[in-house]
Amino acid sequence: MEDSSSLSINSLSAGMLHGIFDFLCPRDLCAASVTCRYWRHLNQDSAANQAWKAFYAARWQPSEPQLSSPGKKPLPWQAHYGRKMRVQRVFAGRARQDSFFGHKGGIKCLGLLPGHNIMATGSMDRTIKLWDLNAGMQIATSRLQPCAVRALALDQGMLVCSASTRGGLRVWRSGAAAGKTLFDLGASREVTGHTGPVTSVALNDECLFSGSWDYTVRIWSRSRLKCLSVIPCSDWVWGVCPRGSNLLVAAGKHACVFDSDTGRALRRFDSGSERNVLHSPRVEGTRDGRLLFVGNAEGDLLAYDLRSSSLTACNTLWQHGALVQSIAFDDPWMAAAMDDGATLLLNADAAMRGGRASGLPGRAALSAPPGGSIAVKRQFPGSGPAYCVDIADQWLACGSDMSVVRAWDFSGAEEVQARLDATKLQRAQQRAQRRERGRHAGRRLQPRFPPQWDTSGDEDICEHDSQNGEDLLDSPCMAPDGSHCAGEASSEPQASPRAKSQHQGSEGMRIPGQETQEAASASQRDSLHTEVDQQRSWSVAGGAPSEDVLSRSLPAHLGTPRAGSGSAAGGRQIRPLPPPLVRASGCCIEARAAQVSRMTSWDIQRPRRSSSDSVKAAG
Amino acid sequence: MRNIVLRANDGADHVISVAAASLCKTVASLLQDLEASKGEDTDPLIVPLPNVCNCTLQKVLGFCEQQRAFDELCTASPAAQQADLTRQIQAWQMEYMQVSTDELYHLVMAAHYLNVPRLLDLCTDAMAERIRGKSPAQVRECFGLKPSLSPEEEEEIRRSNLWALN
Repeated sequence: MEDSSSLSINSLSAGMLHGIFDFLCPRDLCAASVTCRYWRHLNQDSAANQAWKAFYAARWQPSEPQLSSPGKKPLPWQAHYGRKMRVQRVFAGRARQDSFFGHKGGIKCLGLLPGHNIMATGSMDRTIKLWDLNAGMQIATSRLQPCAVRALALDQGMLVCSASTRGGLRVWRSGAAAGKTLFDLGASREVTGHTGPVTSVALNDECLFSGSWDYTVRIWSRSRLKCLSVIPCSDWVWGVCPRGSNLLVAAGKHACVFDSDTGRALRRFDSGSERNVLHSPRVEGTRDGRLLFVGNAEGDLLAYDLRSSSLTACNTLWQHGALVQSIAFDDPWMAAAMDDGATLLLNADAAMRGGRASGLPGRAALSAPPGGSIAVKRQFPGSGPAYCVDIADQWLACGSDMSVVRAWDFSGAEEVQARLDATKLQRAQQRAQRRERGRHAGRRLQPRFPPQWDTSGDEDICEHDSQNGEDLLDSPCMAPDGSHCAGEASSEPQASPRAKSQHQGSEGMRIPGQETQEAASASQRDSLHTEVDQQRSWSVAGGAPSEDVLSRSLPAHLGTPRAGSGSAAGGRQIRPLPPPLVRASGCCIEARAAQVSRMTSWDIQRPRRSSSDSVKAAG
Repeated sequence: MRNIVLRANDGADHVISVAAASLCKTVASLLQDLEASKGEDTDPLIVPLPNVCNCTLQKVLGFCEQQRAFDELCTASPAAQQADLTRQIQAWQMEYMQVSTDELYHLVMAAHYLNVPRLLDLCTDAMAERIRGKSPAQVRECFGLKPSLSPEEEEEIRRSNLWALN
């Protein structure tokens, strides 16, 4: 054999190197592809491309344009994977929140189809409605069904819902192929077979799955709607979820795993719920069928590894305290609708890596998220029990008992973040400039009052606010109950009055401040206006941008509710907060204006602004 | 139990049972051919292996004999002990793979040449283990590779795979 000095890993044949790469996970493959030219070349050939496609398909449904490569050279799957990973990060960013009003009863089920800009909801008022996601408008309403619509599933080819007390399913086929609208809610087909009410339906590429209180799960062919097989269960079926080769079923108090081809029962997990006997665990899973997620009556979100042979290999992702009503999964984000109205968005990947080891599930991991920059959990508070949730392709939607569907659009999160960073940078530069000029003018020696509130103190408060906004997302724009369902039908008309009110508010605030900041620079005013514009376009759920500005410009008691905690540190006097104004109507604006004019401590609360402005005037 | 002699490229002979040697597919097919042509023979067969050096051959044969022993144990023992046995095998394999990177190259090549699928799997896995969880610079250091990508190319790959290479 050759002497060992000439032997390196690259003297192995390409086949063997591929054999080595086969053992690597996507992250390590990426690292390997940057190592040297040869390895990069190996990572770009067709075998590697197939491997990347498999990686992609194991986590996400490949979309139509990815599969059918039009004319030009298709993007390698590694690039698709990288892009998807980047896209999925937006769920940690800021969202535009919309509310969809129109149902007359609690929303029991919903499905998102962002690729076609459609959302379908089913409700206790016995109708199904289709919505235009971006416009926030109702597109169509079905006829009255015989009973409340408990379950619904849709994809680009088919919309299925449970339709009757006796176990029928109602199926609409997509008219997209014929060039018509996607779903025409007039023309439907009823499929019968179950002998009890259907509680859950699910779709995959080949089949339609339905679970019912008649103790069975039925599998139907998509094309002919014939029943292919019946899987008997031991209890009422509450949920079905086909994932990979597994069929995840919630039956009674158990989460069961069946082989979806043979119908053989593979595993059974007890949800362990003592408190609520009638509650069945909610089941979800990763697309490759590797992990099973369970949300139970104790409010625990659990992950079971179906590859390991032990039945107790379970990972607690999160503990919430309220009953889990519904879960949905879009790798790596898990969305859960809670009985207390909260919608939870959980990075399952990060939670699994960081949650268990620290002993404190999540909380510790949240303060120091692994990987540095991705949040583990986000929570969107709401009112009334939330019944259903869906997450798909940068959209999150949650339907509640209050007959409102709330949806969050994360698609602009990256852009907003970039803009915010730019604004922040610009402001920091301005501040530095001002400070520089003040030093030149010799004003630095001038005593300031009160001395402890120098620039750094003010910054602290701002950051504190924004951090809160990021964590819990209860910005003043997201009112708790009541005040926010003031009866608007869609979000479009809401945006402008709210922005107007804020605009007016910020104008109003300037009035009492004018004696101190007559020299407020034009650039500052501009930045304020751009912020207001941002506020208008992004009626922000993660309200950090607006709060940042508001806490600076608004009197404290109109600022964030959290300013109260900030005041403890700053020693400010702040009255208890009125409920935050959200969907401002005319009278609200007046009330706010009145409150503004009553604020007399304005100049005392903002010592920094006045001093820096006077410095600026001097310079 | 019949034995055969495997001769490494430097002339050293290793005596090994046919059962163990047949784990090497190359040797097994050779044996079949020879037996078909020669029929019954009392002399031990000598199989020259010009592509394998002495120490590597010894290591490979060690693997074959041990695997053979484990296989016999597996078929003999009841199902209840299987898990225990699997753990034992894994422990042994882990120890077996405690070799330097250079030895590992030789071992991979020998496994490839002798066509021992299980050893090949084990070796490639061990090789992958040396890549796993490392940054590109660390991988280069580990395998003594020179960075042959231009900074622009590297930057481009990094940009398209930011999630993994931040």
